[in-house]
Amino acid sequence: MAFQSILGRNGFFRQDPSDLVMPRFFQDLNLDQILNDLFSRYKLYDLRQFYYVKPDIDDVEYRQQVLKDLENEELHKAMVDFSINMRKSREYLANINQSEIPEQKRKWKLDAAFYYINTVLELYRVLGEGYINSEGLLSFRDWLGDYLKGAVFEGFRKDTENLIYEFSNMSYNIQIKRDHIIVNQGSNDEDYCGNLLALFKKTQKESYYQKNPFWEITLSNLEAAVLDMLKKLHPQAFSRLKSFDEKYDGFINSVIIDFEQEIQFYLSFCDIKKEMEEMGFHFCYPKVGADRFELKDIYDLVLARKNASQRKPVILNDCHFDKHERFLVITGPNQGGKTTFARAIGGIIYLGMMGLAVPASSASIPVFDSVYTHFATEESMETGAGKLKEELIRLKKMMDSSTRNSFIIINEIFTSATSYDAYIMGKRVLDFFMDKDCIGLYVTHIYELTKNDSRIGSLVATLLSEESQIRTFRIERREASGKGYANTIVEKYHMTYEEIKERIRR
Amino acid sequence: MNVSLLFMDNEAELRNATVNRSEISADLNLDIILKFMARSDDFIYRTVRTVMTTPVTDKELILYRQEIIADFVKNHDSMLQLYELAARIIAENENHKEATKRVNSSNLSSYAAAQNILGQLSILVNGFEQTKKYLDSIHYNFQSRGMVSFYEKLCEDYSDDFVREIKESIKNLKHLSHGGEITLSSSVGNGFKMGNIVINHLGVDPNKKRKLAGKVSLLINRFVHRKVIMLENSKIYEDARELEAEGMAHIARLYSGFIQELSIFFDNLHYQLAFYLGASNLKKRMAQLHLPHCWPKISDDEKTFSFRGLYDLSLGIYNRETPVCNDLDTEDIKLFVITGANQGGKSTYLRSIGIAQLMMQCGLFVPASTYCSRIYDGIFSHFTRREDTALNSGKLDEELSRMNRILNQITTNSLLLLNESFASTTEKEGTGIALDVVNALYENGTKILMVTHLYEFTKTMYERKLQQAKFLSAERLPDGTRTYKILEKEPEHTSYGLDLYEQIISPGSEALTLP
Repeated sequence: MAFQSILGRNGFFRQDPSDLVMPRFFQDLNLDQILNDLFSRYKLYDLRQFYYVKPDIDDVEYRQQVLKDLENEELHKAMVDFSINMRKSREYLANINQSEIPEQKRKWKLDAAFYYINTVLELYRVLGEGYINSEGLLSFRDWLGDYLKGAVFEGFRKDTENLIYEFSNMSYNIQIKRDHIIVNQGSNDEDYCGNLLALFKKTQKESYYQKNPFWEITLSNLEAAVLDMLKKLHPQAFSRLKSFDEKYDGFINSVIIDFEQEIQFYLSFCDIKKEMEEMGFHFCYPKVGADRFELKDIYDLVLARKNASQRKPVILNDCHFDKHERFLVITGPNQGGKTTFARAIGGIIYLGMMGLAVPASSASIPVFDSVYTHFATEESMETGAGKLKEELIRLKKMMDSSTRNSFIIINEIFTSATSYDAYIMGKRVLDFFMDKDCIGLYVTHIYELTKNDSRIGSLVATLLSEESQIRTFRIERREASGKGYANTIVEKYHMTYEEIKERIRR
Repeated sequence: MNVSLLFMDNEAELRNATVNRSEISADLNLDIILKFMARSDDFIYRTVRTVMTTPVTDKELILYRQEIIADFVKNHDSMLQLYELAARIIAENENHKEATKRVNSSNLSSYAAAQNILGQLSILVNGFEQTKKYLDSIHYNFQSRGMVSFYEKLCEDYSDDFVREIKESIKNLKHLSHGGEITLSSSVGNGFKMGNIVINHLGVDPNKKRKLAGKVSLLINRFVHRKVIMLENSKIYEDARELEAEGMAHIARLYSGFIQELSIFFDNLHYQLAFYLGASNLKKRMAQLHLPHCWPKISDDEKTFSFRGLYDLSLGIYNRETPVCNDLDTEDIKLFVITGANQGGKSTYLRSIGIAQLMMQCGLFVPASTYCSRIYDGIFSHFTRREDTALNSGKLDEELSRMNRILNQITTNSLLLLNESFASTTEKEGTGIALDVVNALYENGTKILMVTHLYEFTKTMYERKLQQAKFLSAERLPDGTRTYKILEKEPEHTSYGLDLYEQIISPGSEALTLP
């Protein structure tokens, strides 16, 4: 099948930027913290149009393949270079409008064409190096090959290269004296800075000016004077430049423009992935559409990144739903683990849906339409009845819009109600979603909610390590006891005999 | 170029021993010693503070430093002059940077930037010349490997020819900034901008002597495709000056690596000289107070730990006389438990060992008449802190959190000094924690010196008859006098609990006999 888009086998529908809305669950899952950072780094491409839109289930694997290809560093770098060079070429085209001098306008166009040609030729070369196995990239390469071999592109390429060659051979030297300057044709081979560098025994060539003092796109008076001289010396070259300008317009192919934009979806995700991997974290490609739900060694991206920067360990967790289970109810001590665990799972489902890799060592996920989250809004100053009301209004919306295939995450709801009320309401909420056949997580203090329903699995946060004030938890499958946690200071600092023996480095 | 006086062939060492720096300084009263070494020179103070609390683990390096210290002691005055020279050059360079920073805001013109760099370059190159000359005059006195190779490397890396050429080049650049001539080559760049600008030469082209001038040359110029532009009243004047200034800035930037190299060289030299001057000061001043010292012996089998006449240097400096000295002879002992009456000199004893060990491992002589010990890759202290009781985490929490930090870093080849640790809770709980911590560490091989009042703990440990443990006690003469000497001695059995038991349960029975 002919190439349509690198984001989807049958093409990718671009939404109008003004229609793009951040999915509701982004904030609750802290995905916004990770992605907004990416969006601003890639602001030239508006990544929202890719990250906010869920692909067809069939495209999940199509995308995973492309991402796997891009794990190859050579290919990844080539794609980054390709993007940079495409931008450079467009920048040169944009320079045309800034210039007043016809010759300069034409030269900018010629330079843009030359850049573009080299960029796409290089892209094709790299794609032929044997790095790619994905259907998406293979079919793009086929398309690109046809395009480059076409007579139109071929003629355009020859004209451009010939002309570029002529101009690149024009060199001159300038002597600046006290009251006059002399411009000579031809270059002078002496290299003052090169000699100086040799004195310092430096091997690298830095003898070119680091920056042209005439940084503006338009010509300085001096450059204009040089141009005048060159025009007189090379009339034929300049007339060929004129006909080039008349002959070629709009030479950048729209498929290539789309490809350049869409590949940023993968490149940007590779940034996150690489950053995490360099800190020692793992990713895997999930099996999406599995008939079971099983995650191994998961972690939350945001917390992991934060902990790694403070050199704190990150606890890995497992999570699975038994066949008959619809909801996992998570109980346990305050602060930390539970919410992070729920976030990690929500994030994994989202990334899996998008056809990306997930922070786990293995993952099988059923197909979900969407993720629905309900987290306590911390900023809300309201308490008591006001807070409960606000929570219930959000809950109602969620109940109405969620579908059978939604993944539901409810985190610390009804905290302002009495325990008994919170239990009764919680039971009803769980029943509602389970009757709808939704799958989800319910984080709460009310351990009674884990009882008397075979559709509910019980997970408990257990204290694993406690470094000063910050706690880290492992979430384990076990019966909720509701007991308070009595731990001595010794346990807190891991100073039992066995632990010390374990801790001392050899 | 590397100074390599503190570290062989390097300016930093990665395999330093770990210490709990801030705690150990306080626990061992290091500040008294550091101030004594610094002689009110703040830079020396800060330097010795860092070096003393960064002990090294390489025997060769320790000997290397010992040799250099000997050189410094012998040539104290000329080394002081060298140190002051380095300090002056650094200050001059800093002042120059400060001054130019104040004058110029962010939008520095290329010309001004070049002038700044030129100024800095002159200070450093002249400073270097002076340093070199001074070293030329004193290098005959060096005997240590460190000082000799430092001088040799200096001559090799910065030969006189090299320095001359640099000075010549600086002169050229100064000339350009006062209206000299510059020639550059360029090619047609993108959009007819100047591309690949290369500076060909400064001043008049040495290959082309001035040939023709005036109108005649204008004519010729047209012939050989030249364009001569008169700059007077020309719009191009500004452009030409800008191009020239940028060229100058570009050349100046090429010097920035060299400037940085020299700045770092002087910083390192200053820093490393500071440590050795501190050491030399210490030696001189200890001699004045008749405080004995010796070069330590590093035990290669890692088993011998012995000393004669060891004393607490900080106490000696404080009292301006040699305090009570102790002797010890041990082979392959891992655990020392020190008990005995209060005010008996136990903490002082612990301190004297900690200080000597730190001094040995940073290359210094030690306050003893002989001292033989192994090298540890970690030295830690955990002293009771009677003063801070107000922490909301509770006293035991504070104590254990400090211990926790130590446990995060300690290795099986470390030395740990415990002074009345785990006493901030009941004796029963304290004993429980102490038994866990000490046994775990002991079994893993960490060396522990422990002053404790936890009787239950001491008793239990003693009854275990551990092969590699020794029990010491503060001497108390029969009349109750304290000699402040620490001697090998079985722990005293002053168990009130047991007494009570005996009194009530089995008066006069055989149970009184204790192992």
